[in-house]
Amino acid sequence: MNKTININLAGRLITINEDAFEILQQYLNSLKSHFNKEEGGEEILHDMEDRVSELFEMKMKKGKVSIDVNDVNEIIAIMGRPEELMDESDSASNEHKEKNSKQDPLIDFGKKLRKSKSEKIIGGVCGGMAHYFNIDPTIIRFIFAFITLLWGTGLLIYVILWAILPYEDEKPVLKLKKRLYRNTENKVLGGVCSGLAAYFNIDIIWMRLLFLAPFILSVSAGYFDFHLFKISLGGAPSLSLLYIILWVILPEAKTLTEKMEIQGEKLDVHNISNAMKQQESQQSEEKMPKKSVFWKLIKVVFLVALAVVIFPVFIVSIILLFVFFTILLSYLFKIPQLSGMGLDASSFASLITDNPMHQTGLIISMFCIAFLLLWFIITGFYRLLSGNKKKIAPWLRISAIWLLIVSVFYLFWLGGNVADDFKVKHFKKETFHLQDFSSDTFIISQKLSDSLEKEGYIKLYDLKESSSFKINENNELEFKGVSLNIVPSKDSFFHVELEKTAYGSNEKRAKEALQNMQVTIQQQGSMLYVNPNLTLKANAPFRGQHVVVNIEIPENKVFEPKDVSIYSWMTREYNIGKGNVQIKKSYFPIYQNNNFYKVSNHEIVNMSNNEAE
Amino acid sequence: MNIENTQSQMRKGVLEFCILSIIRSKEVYPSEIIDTMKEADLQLLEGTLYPLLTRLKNAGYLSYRWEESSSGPPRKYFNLTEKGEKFYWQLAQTWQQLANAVQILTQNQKP
Repeated sequence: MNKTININLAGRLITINEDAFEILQQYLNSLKSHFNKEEGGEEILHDMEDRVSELFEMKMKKGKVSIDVNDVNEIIAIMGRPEELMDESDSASNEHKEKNSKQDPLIDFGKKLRKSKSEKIIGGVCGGMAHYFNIDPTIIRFIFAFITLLWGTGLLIYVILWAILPYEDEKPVLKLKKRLYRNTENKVLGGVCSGLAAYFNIDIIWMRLLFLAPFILSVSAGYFDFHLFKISLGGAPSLSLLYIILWVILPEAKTLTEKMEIQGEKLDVHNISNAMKQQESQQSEEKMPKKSVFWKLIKVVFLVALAVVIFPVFIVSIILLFVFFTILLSYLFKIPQLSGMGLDASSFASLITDNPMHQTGLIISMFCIAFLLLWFIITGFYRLLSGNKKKIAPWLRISAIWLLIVSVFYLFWLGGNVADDFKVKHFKKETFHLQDFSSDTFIISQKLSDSLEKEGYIKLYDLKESSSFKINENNELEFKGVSLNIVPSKDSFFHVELEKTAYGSNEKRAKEALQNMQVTIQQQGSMLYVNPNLTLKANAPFRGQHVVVNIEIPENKVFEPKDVSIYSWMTREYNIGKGNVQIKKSYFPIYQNNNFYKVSNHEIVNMSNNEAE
Repeated sequence: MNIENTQSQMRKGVLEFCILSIIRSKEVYPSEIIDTMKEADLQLLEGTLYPLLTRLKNAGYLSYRWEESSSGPPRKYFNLTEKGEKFYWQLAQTWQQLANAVQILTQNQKP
């Protein structure tokens, strides 16, 4: 038999055996003295008493009449004795004190710049620098590659650093680095902009604008500023290329760790809260319904714009690739006649630009693009077919990508430059009179007669219509830039008036371009020989040179075209400006070969029909 | 040095973090915290909870409100403060690093 007492423990009525009560009282007192030292000790004590009483109450609800010694001991074991709690509370309170005084720095200025053993691809230099500055090593590597490409010194710096920096001697400190990932939770296309924005801590709007800007600019900037136009012209394909490349090489942030790494230390609490709740609860998967329609629309517009701009560029680049391969081969094997146009790399380049630096740049970029694309395609196919999943060495991959982007950008920029060289038009008229001749019929011919050829005068020309230009043995460009126009003469004499045009970026250059062209017109008695081809001086760039040969024939005179190519009656006008390239073709009146025409009443009449009648 | 001490030390390390996680998901009173921990199979001496809660409250990471209960005396319902959120996040970071480290270090152990 036991004596029981009723106690009021934290507001609950507990029936407890006397001996159990002794033990309980001892326990509570020891707790009290233990927590007295602590701040808020009374509260702690009160809470613990509350819990003890709750546990007792639960026992009693289960049918226990009164709490006995076993119960009390059980509860004490559950709650913990003061000495057990002491260990915990001491270390816990110590920890709290420590935490308040010393922050855990992420940028430790006591850190030294070292090479990294763990984070290395070549020598660990970039890894070490990344660790020191606490940036993603990929960024450092990009910077190095960029500097090396542009100024060549990056390589030297790298080697020097590699030589002088020792390896890190401390254990790798595991801090939550901020890494560059694709953020697929907030994406329009591939989450590239989202990941970049989070990494650089900029609003995502700016990143998206950055990638879209060249497309917008190239349409509008052309009318405002030419340099802006050149940059946007080069930027559009390069940035799109960059986006696609980033889409491929940046990993997606899938696990919670990775998602946290996107933001690094300055995490937006709501982001992580969302992520953790999704992981913990595994509940509904509703994703931002209100924004999705709007963004889907933007996505579609973006893709369409991309397709519209990229597709013709794509086609053009395929064609250019083809040309490059021809040039590559002819240059390698020194066969100028390979492409049928007498083209080789250096003469091709000199046609585009007369700036020797740009000539070299052009050839190098063309080589790079052709070579790199070919290499990517071949290795891609090889890996696809052979099932070899091993990736290309990262540094090789990254430098190849950078080289490709820089080459593309350069090509388009150069294109802009060349277009600029067509903006000023220079115009010059030359007139000369023909010598008197006796024959009744005036013959206009584009083919020299055999007799003249025998005299060693000028070679017989090849009037094949298919090749519109070629490079001759003297390295001069010959192209069909001569137009014929027959007009009634204002007086009673034959005249030939030449209207020469050429283009340049300023008046001086346009004049130079004009002087670079040569027209060959010769009178042989009653025949006027007009060479259908213009000849450009060797190494002179093509700048829209063109000449209109106005042949003025006096009243009542008869003329007959012979061997005149129909294309000679065509004239071209170049209108290359900001944002548009136009080559207008128009025809002068066409006069058939071997027909006789007479100038009558200031009009030109076809006599052959009359004679037939 | 016995095994229980070491085990208890390991548990002690994550205790604050776990408690804060529980409170963060939902406003709870102390007994609920204990029950949740039992469900998750995390053993602890209940007595360690109360001092910890009070300490966290005094440091400004937690706050509570009293709510009347039909089955007994009023209860303290705990929730996280702004400061507590930040504190929680730092702990979450540390836990991730720790878990990673342990994972890396233990992954090659043969059974």
